Amino acid sequence: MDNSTIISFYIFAALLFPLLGCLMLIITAGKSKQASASIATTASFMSFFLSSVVTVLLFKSGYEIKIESPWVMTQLTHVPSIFTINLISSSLMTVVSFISAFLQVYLTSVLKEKESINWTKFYSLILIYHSVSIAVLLSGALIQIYFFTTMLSVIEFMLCSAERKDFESSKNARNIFLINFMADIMLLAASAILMTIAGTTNFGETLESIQSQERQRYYYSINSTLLILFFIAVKAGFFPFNIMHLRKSNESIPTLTFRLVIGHIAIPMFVLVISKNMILALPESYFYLFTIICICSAVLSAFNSLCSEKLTVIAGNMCFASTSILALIIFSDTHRASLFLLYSLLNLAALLIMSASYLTYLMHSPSLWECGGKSRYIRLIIFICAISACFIAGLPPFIGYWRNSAALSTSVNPLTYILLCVAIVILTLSAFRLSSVFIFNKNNDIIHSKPVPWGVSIVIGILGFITILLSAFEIPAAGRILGSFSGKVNAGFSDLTVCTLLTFISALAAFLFYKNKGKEKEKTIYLFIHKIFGLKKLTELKTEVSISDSVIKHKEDEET
Amino acid sequence: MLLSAILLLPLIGALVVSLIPEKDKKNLAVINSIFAFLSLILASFLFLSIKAEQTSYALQFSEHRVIFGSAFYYLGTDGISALFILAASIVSFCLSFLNEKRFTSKDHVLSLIGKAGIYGVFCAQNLILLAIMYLLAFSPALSLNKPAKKQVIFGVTSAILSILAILFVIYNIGQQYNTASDFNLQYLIFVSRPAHQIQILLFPFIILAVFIISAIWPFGKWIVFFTDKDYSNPFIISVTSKAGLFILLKIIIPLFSQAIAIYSNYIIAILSVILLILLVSSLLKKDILETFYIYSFTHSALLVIVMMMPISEKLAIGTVISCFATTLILALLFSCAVIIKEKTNWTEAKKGLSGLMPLLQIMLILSAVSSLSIPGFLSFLSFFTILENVLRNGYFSVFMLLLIYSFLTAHSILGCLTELFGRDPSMEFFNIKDITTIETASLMIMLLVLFISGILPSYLHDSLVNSAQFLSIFRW
Repeated sequence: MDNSTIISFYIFAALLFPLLGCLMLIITAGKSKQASASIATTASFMSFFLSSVVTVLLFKSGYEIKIESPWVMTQLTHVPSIFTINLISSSLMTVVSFISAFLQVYLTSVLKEKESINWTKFYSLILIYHSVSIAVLLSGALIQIYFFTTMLSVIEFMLCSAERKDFESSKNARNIFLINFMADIMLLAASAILMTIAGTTNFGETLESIQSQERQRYYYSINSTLLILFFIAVKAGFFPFNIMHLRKSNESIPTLTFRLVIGHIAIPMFVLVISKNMILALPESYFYLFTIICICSAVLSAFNSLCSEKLTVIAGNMCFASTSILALIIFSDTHRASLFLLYSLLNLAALLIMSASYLTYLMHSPSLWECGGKSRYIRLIIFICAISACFIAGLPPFIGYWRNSAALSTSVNPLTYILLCVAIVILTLSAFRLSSVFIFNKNNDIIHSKPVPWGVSIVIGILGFITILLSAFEIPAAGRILGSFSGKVNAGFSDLTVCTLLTFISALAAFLFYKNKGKEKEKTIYLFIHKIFGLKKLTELKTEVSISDSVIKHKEDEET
Repeated sequence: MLLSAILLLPLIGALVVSLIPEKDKKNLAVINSIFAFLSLILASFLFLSIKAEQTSYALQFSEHRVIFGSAFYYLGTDGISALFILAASIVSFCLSFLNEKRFTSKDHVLSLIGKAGIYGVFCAQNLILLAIMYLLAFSPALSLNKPAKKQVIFGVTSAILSILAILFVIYNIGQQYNTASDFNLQYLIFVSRPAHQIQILLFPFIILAVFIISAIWPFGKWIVFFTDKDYSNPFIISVTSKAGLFILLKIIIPLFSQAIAIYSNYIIAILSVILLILLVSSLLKKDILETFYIYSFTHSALLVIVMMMPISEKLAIGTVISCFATTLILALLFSCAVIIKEKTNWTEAKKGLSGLMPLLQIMLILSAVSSLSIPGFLSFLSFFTILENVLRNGYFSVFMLLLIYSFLTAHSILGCLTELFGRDPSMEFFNIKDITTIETASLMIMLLVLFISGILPSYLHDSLVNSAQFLSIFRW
């Protein structure tokens, strides 16, 4: 067997292992929870292991393998079925499998604590989600990506509705499905346009075809590109879609992490990377428009995070703001280096969302203002959450910092530069807000003082270690080490200086603000902001704030 | 003989059922099911016998007999007709298991006559026979309450008579009376197509009649809203309302291709407006039945819009497959709705049924998913084919309309399901029973057909390719 056959075999094994695990789960359903957990975890780890092996093999050989097979409905639509295996897809696969495997460990450890969910069903869905995500990452044709992303949307809907608590959460699951369905339909429309102009949705053939087209076809190709960009914007949680993805999200930690990290960061960014050549064919004005949209989305998502009270919403919005900035970098001609940023961002996002949602779970409250306490277990999680927020926002010399300076270096005019500076400041402020509330909040946690389960400690510990290790790399250095990532993000000295300055200004502002009764001030500002947006929200908030105030008062009374 | 057998089998069934005492409800239902099963076998045989290799278009199964004088009996099928017959037989077989308790002897007889009528519509090649069969197809309406009956009979009779009268006029204007082929559809299409001026003059009236029999809003209300008395709903809405689209595709498009070229843009514009109004109004509805009705109306309107374009081979195949898929989906959706209606207090059920009828809930959700053009189901294949070919024809606005349609339909159908199954049930429903195994199996059959044909569509394609090529000759 030659090398490419072995790699293909490993790849398909990595793809099929979670499905096999799911099948085993269905067969052994209801017999033993521990057995189900072991099956699921083994399947995920096998997938992770095989993906890692493939990445190493590809890294050594530098192959790009294409597996083409005729699609069943060839007579009607001539849809190609292409699996592309290269370093981008295999390394993304490794990261996705890694996160998935660790979430399985997490699930196993919290299994005893939350029995209300049908765990076998839940494990199966997560394994299918894992497998389908890998299938998306291997897709070489647009229509194939549509197939698999639609499946992901359906599984996401099933995952959300599997944890149905009330009518509101059912509605929320439906809304999440609808927003994803809208994005998928746009991708289908783009596929239909490409089928019409190029006769195929295969990326390589499409590009060749478009490059040699006359004016009308070129016009159609612009339409299809815009539809793909819309798909990416919806999936990647650009403002205002981030509100839809996070609105009233009260699912469990694995679902939220899967949804956001894999479904809404890894996959849209992957589509952006592979459709980049099509995007480069856009006229200058569209290019500029999309840059502005990316930056505005970053600003508004960061602002949304700054103004939010719920921990998971803050974490989610910070991730979405980072994704928008990353999209900007991929969109400019630096995508090889930005892939390294993407891998780090995925790990960081997983860490941030997991820790934020685990805090919510521990505190029995989603509110940021009720976080804090003297228990060392909670302090540990809080520390992880705060530090990952700071890394993702841009604390030097970690990955967010390099990403921000790279984004600044891609700016072509003063407007985008200023807007990007605003986004960075707000994002950093939001991160410091998260950290400072933890630091300055002196409440006793009366609810929890028991140890964090071993699975959570392991997962957060390993994920945290790897993330910190990855984050500490300087991008050009990472480029040199990894070889193929050429490290084109050569942020100039001025960009780095500006970025550092912005971070320190934000830090100073946050410190001065929170040092002296920052929490009360923040609540006032929070109420004021919500007053601008609508009276209904204000009344809702007032009740929430009054409840949280009464809880604090109660705790203080108990202390005295 | 095969076509006559398909046509006569339900009529024999009706005769047998009428001889059995009314008290014996179970036997009535069993006999109905047996005849439905026999029809299904014949229809499957007919469909599988259609050959793709044929070089020229001709009816692959035909029966022509002169009865007396100028009266003749002429049946014939090609791939499209065979697929419509297959859809009708699958739906009628599956629904026959759901009607055991609801149907009286009269209802069984009327439903069997109705089935014979609808098979007749799909294979009649004689205009008079077509009209008679179409009127027979609506015979289940006779068992409805009085105002409903009047509405249905008025609507359908006026539509079918107007089509018949107009076709009769076309043929006789400026032509010598020819007794042998006056009402022969094949003769009309191939030899004596109406003159240009006559087409332009008559087409508005004929399309209005098609709107009525295709159950397009507001005319669809006459047919479907008043058949709201449980049992007749699924069959009439899913199968009989598709007969209008069948007539448009198989008779009107070949006969009036020149007139369509002139009127098509106006019709597309009018129907697009109707479609958008319906889709927006569906956002406000929270009633599951009304949402399904709107789905039925909008889908018919959408297919008429598609048929008004220059019809290519693939577009024709996409349209027919879409008709086939929607027939099954509508039967599934309305059967589930009828069951819920029958087993619960309908108004109170809207407050929440979560977890009370798990099997039905799964069936309804799967049916809803199959209607959303999600890959794996047949509706995706037809939707994508239509989408691609609409774009090929250069109708970008219709392309956008299709996208809006897809999203808003998903929104309204899922919205209703969330309303129904998202809330916790009220106390009074805790005693209700789920659907039985037989009912589940019958619904499952339709879902499996949708799923298997979605994954392996080559059979559908092969049987449709000849007749689709024939239709594309009339591309204007």
